[in-house]
Amino acid sequence: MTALEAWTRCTHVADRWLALLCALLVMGACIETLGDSGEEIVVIRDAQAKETLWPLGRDKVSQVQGKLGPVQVEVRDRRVRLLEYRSPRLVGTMTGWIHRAGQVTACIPCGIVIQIKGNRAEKMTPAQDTYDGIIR
Amino acid sequence: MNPDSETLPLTVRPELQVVYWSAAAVTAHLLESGLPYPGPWFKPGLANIFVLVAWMQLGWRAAIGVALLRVFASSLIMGTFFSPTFFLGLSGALAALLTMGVLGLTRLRIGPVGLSIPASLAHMTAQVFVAQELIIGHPGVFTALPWFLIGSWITGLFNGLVACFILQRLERGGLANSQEQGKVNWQRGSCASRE
Repeated sequence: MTALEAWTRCTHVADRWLALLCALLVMGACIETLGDSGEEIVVIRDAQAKETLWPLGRDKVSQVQGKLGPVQVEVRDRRVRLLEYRSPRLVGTMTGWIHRAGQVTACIPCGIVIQIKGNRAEKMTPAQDTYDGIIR
Repeated sequence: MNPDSETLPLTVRPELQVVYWSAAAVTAHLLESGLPYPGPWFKPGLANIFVLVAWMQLGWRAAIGVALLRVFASSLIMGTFFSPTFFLGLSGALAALLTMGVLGLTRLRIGPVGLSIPASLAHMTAQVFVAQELIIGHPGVFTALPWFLIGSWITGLFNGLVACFILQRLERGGLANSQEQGKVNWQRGSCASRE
């Protein structure tokens, strides 16, 4: 049985319209997310909800304190990744590098969230860019 | 072997069928949790196949039973009862059931695929909302939601097709004979091949 036959056998007209509607909805949301790009910074939120901003273009390896212990955050070649030492499933580590505005990597048990932001509201000024990191 | 076994109708009481589908859903959930997957929140949600089958075959009450039994039993077995993981699973299951319920209220003839895809999207959305509220506390997670929803759409389609094949197989195999006795609720929709 081909995929088309399987699709025809298992769907009504309403099913096809619903599938299409859902696909358009998801595509629209993705396009909306992609459009939100500009100067890229890394937002690191630790277990105490403290946010640190970091330029994506500046390579650095640092440790952030998580609920289960320290978590290593590595920024390299305009990419960022999270390396967990103690986490039940190491999902953040398995996510690997993220490099585009809007992408998120997180260690939920540790309470660490890393996001690349690119919208103009979060754009860093040249003066801010001279610092290693900004705590807010 | 009884020579008539292939022709005799196979009738199983609806409450027993709920137990069977729940057991299958828990098994699928446990097997799936041990498998590697490409990224966070990209689990295929195979247990939802059996919720869909229960919905199509037995009605919404049975589907709620299967979904909740799956969430509670699998969390008890895995030792995650009342942990954040449990609440993520519960919220996803309830959102999916609610979506299926809303779709079921319409007069549309919706089959397992049409139920599965929106339910899968609702499942993912609810999980991300709960993760944001209970665990992460950071709205940044919503920027990743559209990308998670792509995976949900695909898994929703896959689960819907598998549920449809199971239902067709049951129909051919004789379980659907209980439909003639008024025990199976196909009114909300069916696989297209039934038409």
